[in-house]
Amino acid sequence: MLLRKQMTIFAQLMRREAYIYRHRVPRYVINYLLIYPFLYSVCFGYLQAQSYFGAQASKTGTLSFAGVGLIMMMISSYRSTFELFHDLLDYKNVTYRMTILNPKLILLQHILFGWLLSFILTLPFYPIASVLAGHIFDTSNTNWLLLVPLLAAGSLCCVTYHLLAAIVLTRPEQISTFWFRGNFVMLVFGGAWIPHYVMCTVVPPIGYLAKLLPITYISDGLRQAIIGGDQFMPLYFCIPVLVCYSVLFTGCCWYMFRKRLDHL
Amino acid sequence: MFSVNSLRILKVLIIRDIYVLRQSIINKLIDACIRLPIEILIFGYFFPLLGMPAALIPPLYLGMGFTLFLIFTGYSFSTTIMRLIMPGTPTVLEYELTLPIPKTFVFGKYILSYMIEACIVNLPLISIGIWVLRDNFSTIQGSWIIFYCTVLCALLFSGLFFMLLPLHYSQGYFWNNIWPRRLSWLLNFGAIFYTWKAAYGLNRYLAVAMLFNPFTYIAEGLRSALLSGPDYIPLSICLMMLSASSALCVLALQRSIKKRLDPV
Repeated sequence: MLLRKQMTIFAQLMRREAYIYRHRVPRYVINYLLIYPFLYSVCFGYLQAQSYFGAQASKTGTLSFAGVGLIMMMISSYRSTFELFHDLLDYKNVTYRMTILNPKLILLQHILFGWLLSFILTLPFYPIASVLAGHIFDTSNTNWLLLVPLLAAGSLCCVTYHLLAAIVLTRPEQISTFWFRGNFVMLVFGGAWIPHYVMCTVVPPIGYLAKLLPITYISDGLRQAIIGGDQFMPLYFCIPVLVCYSVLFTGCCWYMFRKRLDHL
Repeated sequence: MFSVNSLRILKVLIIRDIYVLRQSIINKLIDACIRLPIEILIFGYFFPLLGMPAALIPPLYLGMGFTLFLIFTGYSFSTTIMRLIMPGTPTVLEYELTLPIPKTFVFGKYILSYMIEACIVNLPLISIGIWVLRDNFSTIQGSWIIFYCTVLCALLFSGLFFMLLPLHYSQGYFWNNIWPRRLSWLLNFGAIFYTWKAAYGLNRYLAVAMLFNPFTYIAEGLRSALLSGPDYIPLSICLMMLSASSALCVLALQRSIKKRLDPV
């Protein structure tokens, strides 16, 4: 009976989130489904690829561009989770929620909603990019069906990672440092522009260290699904690793969340 | 209202800002030190291994090394200003506006402090980066003095521009849309990740549109100042356009400050 009641409240909180985000949908559609795919396709898929690699642009440009979706994934997961950060600054909403729902379920609800939103926003990126930068972004070997579970696992991992950051960070000024020292470095060494195998060739220690970053498995998985080949890690390896990272981040989230709200 | 006393007060305000900066400079230097090896590795080693011609290393490092930094730190500066003008919270700006000095001095002080901070953090690092990549910079035909003058021009424009953003746009628009709808466009179509001539060779309409972006003149101006040659937009044009953009920003700032803060 208690479980049923908790589930009802959980479902109502999900509905509440959906209700709030309903008004943001037009903005998100414009920003994430139109502007970012267009900008990244033209800038990285067309101008950068053509001016760097010339005749080889289709091959090398695809190699480089395949990881750019990671930026979208990071931005959308940040957007869908950092409400909690602002909430935790003055304990408005979270205090109320704690009185009606198990804290574990509050966290789960944030993860579930953030994941769904981030996944929905990230999913159309590559199809739109293939339309906009089709002559550079070679999708002839792309396995679209395998791309979906990878994007789902990647979004889940990014959402749990950002949720952890939203709980750990305590001041708004720390957000820019978090993006600079955390996300920017992860994007670069995690393979947003440069494939992991190139990093291993140029600076092997960085290549090995990059294997500790969850993003490396998303970027390599993306390249495996879009381009294919032996140089990238297989998807049956990347997806379970990403799920493991997600579980790890969720555990850390729970620990930090409890620590932060213990006094309430 | 312009008097020696006003200048004295301005001097004290700047000294106070430098004192505050002294406490946070380590953090900012750490950020910059993280950025430097990343840029050197990406443009000096990773992209050439993927097939990018070595001749592109100097222009791309100069364009990205400085202009990307300018946009990131400028955005951070904008968010600081936005927090200072948020209604309902007493801030140091409100106190400064009551001081017996021209109001332009107060806003000028913020821009000057931003320029000082950016110079301290960035100039040594960009010089170190050029030294590390010295084999590729063997064809320097320009002048270091002109280069640093261009940097100052770029910083002045950047200070004015990023001060304008929070004063011109509403709070909601600033936090939700300023990055995807304004800064991303300036970043991706600012000849930062490629040279303007390369973009012109690929798509002349896009290249002409890029001429309306002041960051194009920053990136190209720096390249032109240090590397010279016909591959970049001439320095004289870049400086002229930057001056014109700065003048436009001053005009827009005057209107926005009056509209937003209405300082008596």
